[in-house]
Amino acid sequence: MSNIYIVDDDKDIIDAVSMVLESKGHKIGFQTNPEDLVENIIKYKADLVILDVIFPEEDDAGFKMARKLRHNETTKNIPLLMLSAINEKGQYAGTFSNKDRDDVYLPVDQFLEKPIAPQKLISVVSDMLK
Amino acid sequence: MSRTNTIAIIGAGKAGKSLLTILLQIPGIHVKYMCDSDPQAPGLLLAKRNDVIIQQDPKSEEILNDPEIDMIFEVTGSEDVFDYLQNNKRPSCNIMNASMAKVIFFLLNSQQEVAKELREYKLKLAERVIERTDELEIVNKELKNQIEIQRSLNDKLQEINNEKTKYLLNATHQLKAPFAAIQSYVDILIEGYTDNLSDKVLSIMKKIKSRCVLLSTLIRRMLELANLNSAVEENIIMKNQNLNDIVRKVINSESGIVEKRNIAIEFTAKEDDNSIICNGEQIETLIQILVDNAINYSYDDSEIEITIDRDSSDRIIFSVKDYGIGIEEKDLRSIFKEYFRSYKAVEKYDNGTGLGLAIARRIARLHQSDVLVDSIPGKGSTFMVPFSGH
Ligand SMILES: Nc1ncnc2c1ncn2[C@@H]1O[C@H](COP(=O)(O)OP(=O)(O)O)[C@@H](O)[C@H]1O
Ligand SMILES: [Mg+2]
Repeated sequence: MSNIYIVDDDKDIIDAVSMVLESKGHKIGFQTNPEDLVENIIKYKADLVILDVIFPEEDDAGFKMARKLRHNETTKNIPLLMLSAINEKGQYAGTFSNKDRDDVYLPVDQFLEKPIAPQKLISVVSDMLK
Repeated sequence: MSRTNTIAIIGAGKAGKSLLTILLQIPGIHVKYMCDSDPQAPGLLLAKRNDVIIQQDPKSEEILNDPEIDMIFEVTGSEDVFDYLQNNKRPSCNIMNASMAKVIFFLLNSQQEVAKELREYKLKLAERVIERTDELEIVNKELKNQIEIQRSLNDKLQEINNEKTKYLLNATHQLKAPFAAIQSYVDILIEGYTDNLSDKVLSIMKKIKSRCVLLSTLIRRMLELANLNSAVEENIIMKNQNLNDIVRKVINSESGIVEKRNIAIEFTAKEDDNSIICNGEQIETLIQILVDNAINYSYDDSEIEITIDRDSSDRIIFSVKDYGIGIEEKDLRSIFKEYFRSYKAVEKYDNGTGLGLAIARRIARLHQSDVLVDSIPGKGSTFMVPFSGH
């Protein structure tokens, strides 16, 4: 039973992810844009955050949010799961693996490509919450 | 690209700005006007910096009446604006409603145009050196000039390529994102997160799901092929990579399906180090395609043999052998054509796109190689790719 917070510009993805995770008893909070994310997450007492990558106004809004969360004392240890329709082999190749450079290294704990199979989502989330 | 010279861009949003960035790079093209009713539009700043005349009214009389303009790009997305321009332009002026797809194709063409020019310069350069070794000083100066030109063309090419990649990714995302939502809902229904479904509904939902999977593969493959077809060798990043590692990675990714159908994949490599100079992602795609085919066109409970060998001239030969449906003689030439699928193949596996081998061959050719095939109908097929670049 955990508090999970989702940020995705697509309300249907939020809906779908919520249905799956609520079936396991998790509580879901969400927003559809990057505004005040850090504050909202602190208020919500999130145990895990799910981030989309591409938002209408910014192609890498998800990355920026991830960095913000990692740079804040209260939120820096919250597990981050990133979901995107664009896979790791594409545009952001290397972004996940280059730990030597803070500007390109993305400190998320897991990356999944959309569409996510419900069982996979459940197992990844439960592993991350351990 | 036809020899269009003077251009006006209507719309200075994201698309307009991208278009302007590209057009500024192309030799022989002059962007004279850029137009947007919003003075804050992102493209206008770039236009200002490059002495492009800025207009506010998307239906600007000045642009429509300017005899110098050969081409108008309309990227506002407003049908009303497009219709107006279409009806009021001079007959000699072309107009293009630059939807995402058209912009992509335009970018692909311009990239090839610049690549061609670059190759011509390189040739010229070589000729000069041979022709006039006696007039050393003059030659030296010219060489410097030519090298300068070549370098700037190279830069332009790179910039166009980056812009194109951005557009393709954007298009991929635009097409994939809505699908992802549909697929997630379908999964939720099938896996019973809402109510239990009747068998009839469930079987229909499963058909919907399988069509979704096909369509998203198709989108990915089409864009992949568009990207590869326009790829210029100068732009491809080549590195030393061990083929054995790539093959193992691909085999790992197939473990689920292989187990379900009881197919045994056997991998033998004579040498531990089969390194070649290649683009790792592309080679992984190529190997994935050939292994996917071997699986899809194999019978259940059969075997697939993957080998990496050396031939007498020390080339590294990658091959995949299956004991599946095989390919009829008459189809051997067609299988590399885009969208071709044999009837037997469709019967065996109905989620194919017919694009795999076209992509595989293109990748092989970008690596100075080719995909070779040997097959006996009803008995099985062997696909081979020889690599010499190590
Ligand atoms: N291993 C194979 N065994 C039998 N037929 C094959 C094999 N690989 C390819 N083919 C034939 O070539 C066609 C084109 O293959 P491909 O371009 O990969 O598209 P797809 O597999 O999606 O149909 C297939 O439809 C099939 O007829
Ligand atoms: Mg998004």
